[in-house]
Amino acid sequence: MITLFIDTSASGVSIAIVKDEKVISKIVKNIPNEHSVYAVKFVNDVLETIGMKPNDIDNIMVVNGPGSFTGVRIGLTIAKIYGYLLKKDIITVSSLRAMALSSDAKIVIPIIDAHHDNYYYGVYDMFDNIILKDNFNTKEELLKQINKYEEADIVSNETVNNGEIKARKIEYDIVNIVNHYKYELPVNPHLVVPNYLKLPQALEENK
Amino acid sequence: MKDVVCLAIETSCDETSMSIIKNGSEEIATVVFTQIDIHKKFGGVVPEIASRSHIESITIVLDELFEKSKMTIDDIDIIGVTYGPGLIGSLLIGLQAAKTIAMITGKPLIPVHHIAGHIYANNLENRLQFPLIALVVSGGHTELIYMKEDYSFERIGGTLDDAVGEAYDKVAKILGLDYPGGPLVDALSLKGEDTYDLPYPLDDKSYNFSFSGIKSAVVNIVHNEKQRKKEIRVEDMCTSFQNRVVEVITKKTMRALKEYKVKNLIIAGGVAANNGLRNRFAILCKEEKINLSIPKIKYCTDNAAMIGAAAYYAYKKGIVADLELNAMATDTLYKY
Repeated sequence: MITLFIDTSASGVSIAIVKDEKVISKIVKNIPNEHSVYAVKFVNDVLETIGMKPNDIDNIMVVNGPGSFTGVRIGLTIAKIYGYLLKKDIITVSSLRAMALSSDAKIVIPIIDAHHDNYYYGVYDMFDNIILKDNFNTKEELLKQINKYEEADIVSNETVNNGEIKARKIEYDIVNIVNHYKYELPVNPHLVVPNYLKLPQALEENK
Repeated sequence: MKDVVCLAIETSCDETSMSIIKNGSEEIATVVFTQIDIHKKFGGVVPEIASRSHIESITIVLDELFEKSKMTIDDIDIIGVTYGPGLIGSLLIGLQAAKTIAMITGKPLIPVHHIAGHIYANNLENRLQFPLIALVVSGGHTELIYMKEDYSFERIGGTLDDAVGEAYDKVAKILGLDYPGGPLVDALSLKGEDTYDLPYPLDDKSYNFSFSGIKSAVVNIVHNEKQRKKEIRVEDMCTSFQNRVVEVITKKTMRALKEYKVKNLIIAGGVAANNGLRNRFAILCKEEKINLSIPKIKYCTDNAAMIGAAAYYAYKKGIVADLELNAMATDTLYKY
């Protein structure tokens, strides 16, 4: 089984080819605001450096959020078009669950700073059980969870140091993520959409 | 010469559109998914909502295009895409789609400037005759361009503030008309009389335009009348506004034709659908023996067919992008 893994939801992008539980090609790079320039190029490059053609992969796993709206859309557009044209299964991956799968701790709280004292977060245990599903909420609500699980490993895709809210930066364990997600059902390319967890501002104001 | 079949993608604003165009002139199939109803309730295009809609429809539009054209990706020779200008979040979806197709197929990726697309919309009906002057008027653009030959653009003037279509939509909003209000102002102007004392927008010797002054004049009159508890005669205001705008645009365009000794005029962009503008140009061009070309309404608004037409001529000029092509919210046409 050969999987193309794509995450462009944060300022760092991770694009990799995983074959039989091994990462055989990978580009992990911090490219804030330049996803639009490099994401397709990196997909091309992870294939090219190991002499693979786009058609040689079996499926695509793509992070569909939460995270940067624009970032998420870049990776998803690539996955949707790729999956549609070459008839490859697409499996969507949660950025938060991907982080939780990259930690060995008993309880993991993956968080993403959504600015203005808001966060995306979830609570997972070491067996990949969801204790609290991914959501968008205030700092106060997140703090309740952090206080509830004192031993939790609080992780993020970038170092977070906002007073009471601190998280260590975690690198993706791509093999483990792919291993857990391979049992998920693929989504029809037309139906693959971002999981924003947050309405556009114009709709918030209209609520 | 071998036929060149272009798959074209346009997502610069609130329309997800794809098209297959042969040799820059023959439209094989076009699909347009318009978001107009989504944005209507906000009185204008909301960029984040536009981006969200583009990604939801991107593969559906492509699938429909293949179905409609009875073609597959293997029949395509080049991929043309609007890289700018436009709403960055919207442009990005079409751009990533085009780059992904180019990566998978190894076919040339042709970056097309949105304005070049509007101009080449005319080529889908009649082959462009050079030299020409192109007047591009839309919700985002007001530009006068001189073209000596294919894919050579010299900007001789443009708006200093609002685009003409934007001014129409804003005036419509002030008058309490629905969005998009430009076509309504145009329609109502046919029923009214030119009774309001509005200024001529930037009636000077340059080829530039400015529509913020006349828009402010409309705002002031509406407010004053309201304070005096008097009704605004909406139809008359539309007529007065349209007359001033059409007068200045046609006057400057006709002067440019004379100065550049050009006998071909093409009008492009969404406001090319404006009846006031079409009728006035028809009369003036007949008088001055100018060969006037205005595309059908469906080619006036944003569509990928025009991008496919322009992409062919860009390709013939050797304009090809690599996979690092980026979207540009603003960009000049004139570097190529």
